[in-house]
Amino acid sequence: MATRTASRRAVAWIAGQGWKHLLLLAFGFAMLYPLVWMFTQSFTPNDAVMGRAGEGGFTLDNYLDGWSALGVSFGRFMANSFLVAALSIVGNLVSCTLAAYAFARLEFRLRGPMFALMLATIMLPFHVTVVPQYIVFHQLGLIDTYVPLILPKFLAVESFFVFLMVQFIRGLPRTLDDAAALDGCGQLRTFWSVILPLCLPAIGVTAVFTFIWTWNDFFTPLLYLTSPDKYTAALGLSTFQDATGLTNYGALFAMSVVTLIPVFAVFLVAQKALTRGIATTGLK
Amino acid sequence: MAAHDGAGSRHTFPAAAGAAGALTRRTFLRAAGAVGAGLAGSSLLAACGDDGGGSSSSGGGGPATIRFAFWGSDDRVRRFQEAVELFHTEHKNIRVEPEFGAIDAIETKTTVAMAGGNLPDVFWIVGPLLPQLGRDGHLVDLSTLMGNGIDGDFEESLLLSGQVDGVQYALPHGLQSIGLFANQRVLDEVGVEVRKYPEAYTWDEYADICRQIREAMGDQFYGTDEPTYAGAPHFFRAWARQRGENLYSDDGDLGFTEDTLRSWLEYWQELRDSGAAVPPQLALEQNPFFEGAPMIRGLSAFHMRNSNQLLELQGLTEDELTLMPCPGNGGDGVSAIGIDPNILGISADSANQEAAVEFVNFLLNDPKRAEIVGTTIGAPATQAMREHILPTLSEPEAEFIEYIDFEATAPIDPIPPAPDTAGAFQDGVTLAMEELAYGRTSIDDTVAKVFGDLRQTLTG
Repeated sequence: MATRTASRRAVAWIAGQGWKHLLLLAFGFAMLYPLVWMFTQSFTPNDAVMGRAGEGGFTLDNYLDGWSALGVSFGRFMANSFLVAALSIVGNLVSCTLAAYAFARLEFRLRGPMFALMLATIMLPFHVTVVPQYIVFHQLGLIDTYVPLILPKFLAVESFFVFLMVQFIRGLPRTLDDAAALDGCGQLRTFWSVILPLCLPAIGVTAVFTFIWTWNDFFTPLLYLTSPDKYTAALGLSTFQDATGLTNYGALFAMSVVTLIPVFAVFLVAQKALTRGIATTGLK
Repeated sequence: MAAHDGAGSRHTFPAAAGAAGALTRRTFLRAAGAVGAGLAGSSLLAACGDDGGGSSSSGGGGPATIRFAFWGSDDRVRRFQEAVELFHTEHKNIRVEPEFGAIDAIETKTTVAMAGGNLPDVFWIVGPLLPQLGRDGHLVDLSTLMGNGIDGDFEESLLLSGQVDGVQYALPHGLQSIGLFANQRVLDEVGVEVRKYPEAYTWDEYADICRQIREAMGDQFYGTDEPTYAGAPHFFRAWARQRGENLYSDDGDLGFTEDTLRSWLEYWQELRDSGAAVPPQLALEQNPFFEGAPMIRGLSAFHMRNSNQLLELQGLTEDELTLMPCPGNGGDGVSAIGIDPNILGISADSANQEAAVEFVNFLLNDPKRAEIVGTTIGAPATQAMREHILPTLSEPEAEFIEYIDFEATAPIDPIPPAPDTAGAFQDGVTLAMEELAYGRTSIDDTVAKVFGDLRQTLTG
């Protein structure tokens, strides 16, 4: 009797609200499945990976092999990636906030056209600038250093973030600036003490996305880094799958998992920071 | 050009200065100084990442440093790192810095470095890039160095692969060709005899055998996979060469007739229709090579692919595999054989060309390096090296070496070099063949497409 009412209740729940939950669960599983698959394959012996005939079971060999498979430890690649990502974040935050403040708040000649020009660079295909940029850095003797990866971030070339922050700053009430001016703040003081603290959510978004994009960037490090001990994690990973030979799938999956961990961690931490930023600034 | 671009990148500065217009000049300068300090810090950090000795010039009488770029996954990377260590013990005055990555990544990198004038001193050349590299003066003419720094006795037919307009810009360092892999267990079960050089199946015999296998093994098993849509164009080249034609002509146009292409497409259509060839739906469930090859997946008896893969393929299956010549390439058809060596060259911009030459000579002719590298990038290019490593090799590797040794020393007709545009052309052909295999187009349309649009791609 009790079970019958329970099952009847379950049916009622599904018919009412429950089917949405079930649908979401199924959808979530479909999205997660590739990750789960990669995760389990990374613990499968290499000759049984990808449904090959070999003996199954659980092993950590993929991680041990992959970590040292390329002569340079994968930890070195990860450390390099961290260095590049950290400096890129600093660069983007310093330059993009300053540029955005100027476009949003300061009056200067040709502001409109310059803003349009900056927006146009978002539309400019990346490939157009690759070769000229490479030549410049080559002439400066900066190939095989991290400068070509980081220097552009200090020059606010990521116009997407500039645009994001301009829009954000435009949403802040001008009266705050006026109040600051009455208290005797100059532009820099207004920027630093009034605008910047209010921009925390935008700053958080910029930092997180800069991290993820530079962490995952393959093309720029590929072009500019030549010695293997400077390679980033993305470059190291790609070396596991050369089309002219066997792919070391086990090591590839294992190192992919390792490479995902920082991105995952950053997202977990940043999620909290983002919501807190929005809550404390009292916006929207 | 460089000065121009320098001005371009400074474009951001007027904007920053404009922003400062409303600030006082002093605060702006302070801010600019802070940014500048940040930059200086980052370049310092970059310098720290440099484990010393990173400069590519040999200033101050230190060891000459050369960059060496190659492609491959972890196993090959380790072999070449070991080979470079060996080179260092024999040449104390030269430092070799290896660079590696997947082949498509290396191709991209080479293209950009070529435009930027920053090619590695010694590098493996992705075939389609050779004509441009040579004609634009990026490579050292190696002909004067042959026998004069670079030793080795190379077959004339192999040297051809490194020539552009008759100039020897590159040298072969690893030989590969096409071959017919077979699952020996299936052949024994069905009672099919193996043919090795100098003999080979004819194409008609091959079709009969595939049908026979299909009949004997039942509905879920096929005779062969198809080189057509799988992107193995050199089987068609063999077909054309056996008819006295070629894939490309000497002037960079198509080297075969419409009839030859049509007969090739009809041959495979017939094999598909009779169930002798694996259906494309099934074959293309995975990348149809290595672990995804139908033969490895237990779907077919034969696999048509590059002969140097025998060792890797053997490692993927319990059944014994064997390597046979491409149909039609035996007996009187021997002159139709084609070899496609991997090639390497020396950058014309290299500051240490003597060191580069010494290293190239090591790569091509050092017996110990040949042992270390084995057949991972194909067979050594000289017979002397092939004979040297033969006793050290595993059984599948030895079978491959004997196979390619016959081909390398066979009296083969010269192969006209592929034009620069061959890559785009081949991609188009592979797609067109896939459309045909799925039955979305007809043979006539496919022939018309190859001789229409795709020929345009080739000749520009």
